[in-house]
Amino acid sequence: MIVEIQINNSLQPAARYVTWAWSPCLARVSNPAGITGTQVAIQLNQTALAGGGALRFSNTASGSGAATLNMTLPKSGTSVPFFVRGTTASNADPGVQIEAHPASSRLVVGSVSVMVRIRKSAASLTTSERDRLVAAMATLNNQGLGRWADFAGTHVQAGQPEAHGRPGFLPWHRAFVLDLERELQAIDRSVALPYWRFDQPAPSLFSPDFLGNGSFQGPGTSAVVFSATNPLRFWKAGPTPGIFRDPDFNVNAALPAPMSQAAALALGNPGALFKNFRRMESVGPKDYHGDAHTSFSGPIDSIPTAAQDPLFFLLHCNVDHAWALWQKQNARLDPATAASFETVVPPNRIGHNLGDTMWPWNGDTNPPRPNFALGGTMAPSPCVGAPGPKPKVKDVFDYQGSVNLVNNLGFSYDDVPL
Amino acid sequence: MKKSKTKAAASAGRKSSKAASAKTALPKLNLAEGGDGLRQALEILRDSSQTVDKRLEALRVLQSASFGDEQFDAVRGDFVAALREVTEDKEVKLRQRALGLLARSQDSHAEKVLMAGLKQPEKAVVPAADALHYLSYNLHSGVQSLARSIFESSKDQGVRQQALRLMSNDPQALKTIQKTLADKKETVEIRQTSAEALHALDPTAFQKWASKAVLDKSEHADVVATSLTALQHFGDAKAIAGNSALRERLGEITAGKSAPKLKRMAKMISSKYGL
Repeated sequence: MIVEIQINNSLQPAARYVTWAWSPCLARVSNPAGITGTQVAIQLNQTALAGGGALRFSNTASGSGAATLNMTLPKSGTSVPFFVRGTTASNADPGVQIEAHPASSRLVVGSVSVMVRIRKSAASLTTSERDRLVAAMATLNNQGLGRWADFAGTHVQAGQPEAHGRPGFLPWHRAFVLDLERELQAIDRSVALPYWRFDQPAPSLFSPDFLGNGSFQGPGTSAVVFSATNPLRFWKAGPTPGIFRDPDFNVNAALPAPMSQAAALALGNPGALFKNFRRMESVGPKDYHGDAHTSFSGPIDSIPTAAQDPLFFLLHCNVDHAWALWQKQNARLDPATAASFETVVPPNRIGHNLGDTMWPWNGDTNPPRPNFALGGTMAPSPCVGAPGPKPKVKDVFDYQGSVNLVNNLGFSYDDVPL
Repeated sequence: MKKSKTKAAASAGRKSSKAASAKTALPKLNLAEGGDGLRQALEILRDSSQTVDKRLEALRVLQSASFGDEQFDAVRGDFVAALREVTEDKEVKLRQRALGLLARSQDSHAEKVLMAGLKQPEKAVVPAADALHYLSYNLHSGVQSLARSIFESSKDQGVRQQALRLMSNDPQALKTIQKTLADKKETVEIRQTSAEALHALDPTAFQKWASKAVLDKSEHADVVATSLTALQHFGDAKAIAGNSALRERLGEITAGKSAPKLKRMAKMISSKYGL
């Protein structure tokens, strides 16, 4: 007997990545030799591999699940659905092996390896996780000739009204970060974009082996220094090679007197309203998002050049992480809940209403949209179908499919449960 | 102004601003909708009687608002004007911040000030390395043609590195970059910047050079590591797989007494390209 297991309803190895969200899976008898009767009882269990991690199984996409799952499979080969989700993150691929046994023996009759791929704090990455991320970023950049140029060329002044200063700020940047992460995963499936917690020290992030640090050149010029083995030393996203970033703070500590994550989450009060929470974008004199950008001198400190620096995406991953935390704490995952967004009459500018498609993925270059749209549609995922090639604002709220499984965007944060 | 333009002054300015960065230096600004907080911040930025920390903090508030505050549009023009004023300020850190911000948006006033400083150092308001970097945001500013001569004449490592980065856009600089990369009398940092410049200007030429550098047993370990990094991440699989001398040398590095980082990289390249 052989049992075939599909993760995310797919046989593709590229689909064998799970998050905290329930992933739809299938099991079926692909070779019935030795089965007496019309069906067979099997048990699914798990073995941690080098990458680590842990899973829960369930017959339905709800509840907490269990470490094993008993199933009955028809001898005919008809697929039987089940669900799997991660409960402990992997730090490499593969992380956990799912094994099928006949209920009556320990003989393995089918297996598949998966990774519990989770966005983590950049300060907590293992050396291997860091190196894989950095290598994928360098490949995507490809000395300025790669897809990174589209990202850097999108986050510019002409695109500012699409992405900033209005209610679409958080949804737009969630989509932007997700698009980049998927491009990185097309290079190395084991990569999840980490987030930079501004209010906590992250010395390893600003080190020569990660996103670079220091300069003997003095202030102002500030090409960050990389170790000889770091491929980011060949970075080119602006007119010249190099990453330019001069911190105004001691990078061995957190930002000086930043708005803390707790304070940022409290911005929504009273009423846990999105229209209040989104003030974290730029309401000073101390604010969560803008202060992080302007804690450096260099391209990252202004809109037209910010995405030239790979730190931009870790910074915005943390902005998104804060939104995810706020959504979870206040049950604001469903865009149909009024307080989850800021719907007004008359409507917000185009691109900032729940039903609007977002530029540049929609390819719309008619005014008032910018007259260019780089990079094409949203990168697809082999694991999930959402948010689709031309996402609308409302498509990025329920990022773990908590409201409806089909909304799952395929990412989770280490400290934000389902 | 225009008196304390040395690097030492720049460093001192930087240290003082860092030391004070934890302080809440600004008076309470009314940043609520309809408030005049951004105008207050502009006044503080322009006011040379205020401390540099307060003025830098005011600049940060304005920069932060430029990311998303709808009220910022009303002061955008005044913000640019204030930055232009600050390019002539007595405080080097403010000059650097203002010139960096303006140059990144290809501001013609900033470019004129920076070019004047490169051509006539007595007019320089920021160190030459900074000026080269800021001007690099607009390759049509005329800086490109200056880069090679500045590289040849300057003894300042930071200036030379920045000139090399600019030269990576200039096909006429190819020979100079290659010569610098090969010159073992140059510092490792200059050679590594040459490697980055050559990689950007002519990736194929750099790949060839990197393969040779790995074979050179007298080459500096950091230059070998930089070469291995380029081969590992950007290498031409066919050329590397067919290079028997490289294969042999990688085997020697892996098995020999090389630094652990070189051994690890040699092993990874061998594994990646099936050597």
